[in-house]
Amino acid sequence: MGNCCSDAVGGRAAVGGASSHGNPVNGQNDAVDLYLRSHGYHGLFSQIELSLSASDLRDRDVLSKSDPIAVIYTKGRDGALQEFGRTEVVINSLNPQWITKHTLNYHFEELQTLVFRVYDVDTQFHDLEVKMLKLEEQQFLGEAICTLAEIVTTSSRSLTLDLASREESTRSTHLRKLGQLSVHAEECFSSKTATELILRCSDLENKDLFSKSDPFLIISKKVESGITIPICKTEVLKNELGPTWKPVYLSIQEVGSKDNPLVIECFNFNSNGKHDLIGKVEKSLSDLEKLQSTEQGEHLFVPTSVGNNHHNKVLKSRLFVDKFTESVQHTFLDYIAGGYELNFMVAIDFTASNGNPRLNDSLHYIDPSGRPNAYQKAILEVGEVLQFYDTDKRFPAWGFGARPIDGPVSHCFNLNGSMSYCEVEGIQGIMTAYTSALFNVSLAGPTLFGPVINAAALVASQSLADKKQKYFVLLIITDGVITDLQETKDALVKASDLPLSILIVGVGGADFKEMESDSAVQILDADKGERLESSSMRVASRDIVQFVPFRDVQSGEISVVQSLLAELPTQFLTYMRSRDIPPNT
Amino acid sequence: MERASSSWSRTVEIKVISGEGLRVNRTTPVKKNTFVIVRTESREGQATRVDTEGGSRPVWNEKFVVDMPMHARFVTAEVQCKTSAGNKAIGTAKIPVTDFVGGYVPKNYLHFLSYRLRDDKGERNGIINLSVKVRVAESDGGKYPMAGNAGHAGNYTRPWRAAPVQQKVAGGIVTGVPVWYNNQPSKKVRGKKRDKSGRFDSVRFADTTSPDGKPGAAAVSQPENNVIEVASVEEDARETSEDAAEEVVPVKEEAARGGAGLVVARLALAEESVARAGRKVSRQLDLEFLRIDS
Repeated sequence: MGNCCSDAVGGRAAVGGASSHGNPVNGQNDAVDLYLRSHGYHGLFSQIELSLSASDLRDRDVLSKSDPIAVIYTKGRDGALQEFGRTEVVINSLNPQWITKHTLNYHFEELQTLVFRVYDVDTQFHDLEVKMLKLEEQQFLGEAICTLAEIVTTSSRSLTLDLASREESTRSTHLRKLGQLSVHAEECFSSKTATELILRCSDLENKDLFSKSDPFLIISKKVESGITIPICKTEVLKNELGPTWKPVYLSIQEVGSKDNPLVIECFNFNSNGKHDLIGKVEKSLSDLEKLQSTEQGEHLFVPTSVGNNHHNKVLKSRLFVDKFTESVQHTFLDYIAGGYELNFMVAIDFTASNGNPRLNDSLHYIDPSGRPNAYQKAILEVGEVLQFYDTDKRFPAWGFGARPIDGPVSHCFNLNGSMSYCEVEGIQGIMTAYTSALFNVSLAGPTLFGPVINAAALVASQSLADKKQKYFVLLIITDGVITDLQETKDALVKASDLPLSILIVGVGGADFKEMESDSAVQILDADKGERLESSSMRVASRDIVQFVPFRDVQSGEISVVQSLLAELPTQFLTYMRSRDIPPNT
Repeated sequence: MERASSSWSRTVEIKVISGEGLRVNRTTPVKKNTFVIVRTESREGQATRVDTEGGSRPVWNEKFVVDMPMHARFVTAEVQCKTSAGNKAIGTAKIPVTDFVGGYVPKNYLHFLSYRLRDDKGERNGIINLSVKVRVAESDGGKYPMAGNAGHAGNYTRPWRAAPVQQKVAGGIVTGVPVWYNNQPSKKVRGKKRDKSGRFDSVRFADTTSPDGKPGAAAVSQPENNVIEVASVEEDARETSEDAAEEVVPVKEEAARGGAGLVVARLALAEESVARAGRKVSRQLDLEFLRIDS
C-alpha cells in the first residue's frame, strides 16, 4: 500500500557497511569455526554471503510503487521453515537491489533448502526496524525456493528464480507473472580490517526543479562475473550541492580486497523511488586512500551511449576523501587468545513438570541400562561444545524448583549437595552431581529462573570486583514451562549490564510451539527485536539470552554447535566493544 | 568518607546515547529536533544538543558530569522535542541511583542502562539509552566495593555461596513476600527490629529475598556481631518453631473451615519458621500443605 506522498522515512537512512556498533561479527562466527576445526571438520564447510535483488515485482501500491523487503528462510529436516534473515526495505521500487547481506555456512554434505519471500511493506511501518515487522501484516509479493548448492554451482554464482505465489510454489507452472528474484552467492573470507571513510562531493549538478539536489551515495563492489553488488548506502542530505556524508565503514571482508574495484554512485533522492544518477566513479579502496593522502578530487562521470558507442561524460563535480583510516576489528578469538576467560555455569530444572523421575516417561528418568535421559544428553552434548572455551573446566552448578531433603522448595541449590561451594569438576562432575541430586531432592515447583540468574549475576559482578578478565555464560537446561516471567525479566534486565550471557536449552519432546505463548522461555530471547523490560521500566541494554530447543540431536553435529554458539560471540563482542575493552596482546 | 566532597555528593558521568521509537501524541513518530534534559535533584538540568537527523531514533552521544547529592535517589532524563510552538515533552525516565551504585561491581564500573520513557499521561513512549559511571578518586578506587550498598538489597547482598539450600524462598506454590510482611507475627519481628540490640535486623536482612532493605539497614550491623546474632536467633527460632508447630493445628482447622488464601499464607509462614529449626515438623507440614493445596 503506502502512498505517494510518503515521507520515505526509511528510504533516507544509511544502510550497510561495517558499522562500528551495529553488527560486530557480520555473520562470521569464529567461535563455531574454531570448534569445528579443532574437531577435524576443517574444510567441510565454508561461509557463503548471499546478496539479493529482484526485478519486475508486482505493484501493490495504488499511487506509488511497492516497498519491497526480502525474507530468507531455511528449511529444516522436518520441513519446517525457520527465518534466517531479512533485508532492508527499499522504498518505491519494483527492481530493488537489497544491500543487507546474509552469511550462512555451506555444508557440502547437506541439502540446504532456502526459501525467499518478498513482501511489500506498508508505509506506516517504515519507521520500524525490519526485524520488528510483522510479516502477516505486509502484502505478499511472491516466493522462490532453491538449494544453496544450486546457487553456488552456477558459473556466475548467481541464480535467477521466478517468484510464485504461495500456492503455486510447489508446482512448476506459473499462472501469473510475479517477477524474478536473483540470488548471488560469494564465498566469504575473513579479514579483521575495517576502513572508515568520510566522503565529500563538490559542484554537484542540480537535478531538482525547485530546490537543490538531495544527494546520497551507493557504494558497490564489482564481482568476477561483472555484476555489481551494492554494499552500502549513505544517508540522504537535503538540498546540498557540496555534501559531506557521515563516516562510512567498510570492512575488507565486505569489499573483498583493497584492490577490488568499487563503484561509487551519487544519486539525487526522489521519494517516488526514481533516483537520478548525478555521477559516479570507479575506485578501489587503495585508490581512495591515495585520493585522501594527495587531497585530490576525482571527477565524477556519467555513462552515455550514443548508438553503439559508450562514452563517459566527465563532469565538473568531484569526489573527495576527507578521511581514510584503517582499524582492526577484534574478533571473539582475539579476546580468547589474549587470555580473556569464558566461564560456564549450569542450572538444571528440577520442577515437577518434568515428570516423576521414577517413571520412564520422565525427562529425569535414570535408565538402569545407562541410556542417558534428556537432561543427561543435553549436559553431554551442550557441555562438550561449551567446555571447549572454558579453560579451568570448573563449573558452578545449580538446580532449581526442587525440595531438598531438609528444607522447603529451593530455586537455587548447589547441585553437588554442598552447603559451601557450588563448583564441580568438568562435564563428568556435572553428570555425577546431577544424578546424586536427583536421588536427594523431590521435584516440586514452580519454575523460577530469577534466583539462578541472580546467583549467576552475583558471580559475574564479584569477578568484576576482583578485576578478573572473565565473561560468564549461564546454561539453563529446562523443560521450558516458566512461571515467573516478570521476575525472570527483571533479573535479566539487571544482568544485561554484566559480562554475562544466558543460554537456555529446552529439552524434551515438548511442543516448543507452545512457547510462542506468553509464559514461555522463548519470549526472553530478544531476537525479534522486542527488548526485555523490567517491572521498574528498565530495559535490557543488550540481548543476553539465547534460546535453543534441544531435540534429538546427533553427537557433534555441526548444526548443534552452530545453534549453541550462534549468538555468543556477538553478545560477547557487544559487551567488550561498548566498553572499549581491548583484547590482551 | 572523611573528605567533605565525597561524603555529601558523588560525581557521576552520564552519557546520553540515543533514543528509540519516540512518538508524538502516542501515534506519529517524531520527525526531528529531539533533545534530552538530565536532572538530578536540582530543578535545573543540563540539556543535550538538538538531534536533527535521527527522527524517532535520535543519537546524541553527549556526556555530562554531574555532582549528585548523596541523598538523591533518582536521576531523571526528559526527552523533549523542539517545535515551532515551543518545546513538547515526549517522555521521561526515572533512573534509580541503585541501578549504578552498589552491588559487587567495582564502584567506577561503566553501566549501560536503558529505560522505557513515559509521557505526561503515563503512557509508554520509546526507550532511552544511557551510560553511567561514578567517578572514583584514585585513592579509594574499588577499595570499598560494598560502600553505598544501601538500598540495593535483595539480589546482590546475600553472599552467593550461602545462597543455596539455606536460601529463603518461601515454600511451595502460594507464598510470596507480601504475605509474609502483612502477617501478624512478622510484624512482631519487625517491631523487635527497633530494639537496641538490633538482633533481628541482621537476620531479616540476610534472609529476605525482597529488595525491600531500606537504605542503611545493611550498613548498621557489624560483621563480627553478625555471627553472634545469627546464633542467638537460631536459638530463638528453635523456640518459636515449637510455638509454630502448635500454631499449625489451629491453622489447619481454619483451613478446614475454608479460609483458603489467608490460611495458606499463614501456613507458609509457619512452615518457614519451622523449617529453620525443626526438620521433621517441616516435612510433616509439607504433606499437610500439599493436601490443603489440592
